[in-house]
Amino acid sequence: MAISSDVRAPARAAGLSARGVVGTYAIAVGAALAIQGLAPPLAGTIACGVLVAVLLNDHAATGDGRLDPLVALALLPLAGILAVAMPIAEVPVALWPALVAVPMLLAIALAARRLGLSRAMLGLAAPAWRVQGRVAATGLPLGLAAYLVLRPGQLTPHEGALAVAGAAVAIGLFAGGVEELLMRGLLQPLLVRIDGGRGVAWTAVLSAALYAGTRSAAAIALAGGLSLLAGGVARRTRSIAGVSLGHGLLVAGALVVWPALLGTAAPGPALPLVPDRAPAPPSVPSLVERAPKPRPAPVARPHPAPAVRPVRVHRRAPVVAAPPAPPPVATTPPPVAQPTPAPRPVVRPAPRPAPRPVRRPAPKPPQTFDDSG
Amino acid sequence: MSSLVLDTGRRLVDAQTFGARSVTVGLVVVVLLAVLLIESELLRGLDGRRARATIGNLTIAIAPLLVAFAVILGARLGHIV
Repeated sequence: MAISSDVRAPARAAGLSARGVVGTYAIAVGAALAIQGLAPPLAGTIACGVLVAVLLNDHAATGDGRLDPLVALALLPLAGILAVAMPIAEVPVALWPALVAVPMLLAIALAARRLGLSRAMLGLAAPAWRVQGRVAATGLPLGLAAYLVLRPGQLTPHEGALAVAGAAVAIGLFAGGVEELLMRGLLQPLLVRIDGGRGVAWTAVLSAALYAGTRSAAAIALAGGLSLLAGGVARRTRSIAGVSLGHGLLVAGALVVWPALLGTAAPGPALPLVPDRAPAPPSVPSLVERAPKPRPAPVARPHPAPAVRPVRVHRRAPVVAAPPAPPPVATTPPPVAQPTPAPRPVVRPAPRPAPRPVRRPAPKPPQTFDDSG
Repeated sequence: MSSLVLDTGRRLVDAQTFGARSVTVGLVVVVLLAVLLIESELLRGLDGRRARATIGNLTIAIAPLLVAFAVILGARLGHIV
């Protein structure tokens, strides 16, 4: 272990026991993840950021090896931060977990190295494949059960079999496998080390907190219950191979395969493939209100899109609608119209006597009519 | 982790534009990364076991955040180019 546990334990500030410190931080981490999932993500992200810094600093400052779970706990809020920070909208939905899982794999490797955890301690040793295969196989029916209970939206709507298979592999590998490596491989053994069997329960509670974003009590309860089972199996078999494969099969089945085969009761939420094109500068709406509405309307309304297209249309409006109105009068007619009226005034001023006879008789008759009447 | 990305991340993407995300959660991430980097460099100047331990711990968070920063930068450059 990088920081020996027993020698420097007394150096930790008195007060809470190591178990109390870890428990308090575990509650804080769970609360931060719950806030991030249930409330607008900014508050939860700030809480996660603070926790990452505090947990890593506290572990190093105390120098107590019994607090090694703090390093593993710091990776949970870090995952929460990465989940909202990564540009997920730029890649297909099936690869979203990969964007978070790859840096998380790096963090797990660094944490394991820092804490001196071997592959066997992470549950990555060669397992008894028969037992692990049975454990992994439970992911298939559990995935179907999760799909029937939760009815998640389709991640790959209207895609071919190859795309569905690729999405299933990506989701299973990056979402299921990496989560098990983090929770059952890294965190649980450290929690079990200081709190015995309760460490499995702590890990299950934190796993359930990761699913707060579903805002579904059934999903959170299912995640907590299955995490408890997976934790028990991983602790007993000292391998995470079976639970990782089972988790991968579960999420791949529930989120990709079964929805593709059986459909969804309600269509999944529309996925914003290009949501970033929508940003409307604050000046645009005001320009829209000021701009003459009748002109852009006939040109623009062929694009009836919700909230996105009107902005683009109105941006064009002042450019497109304004020029066409003046130019036809100012530019094109002059060369045609000026030559024709020009010769007339030049020719007619010559016969001047014409206006005189018209003006003089005009005023006289009305006077005579008025008088007679 | 699947829920973190597929639910929380998706909700954020649905609710906010890239610009809005950049000045909210993006800012939090950048500030966190900057704080960790500055602390790490300050501690590097101090020679001591505790300083080395802290640097080692901070690297666990700094490395993935730098990866995320590079990915975000690449995505934005891709948009511009």
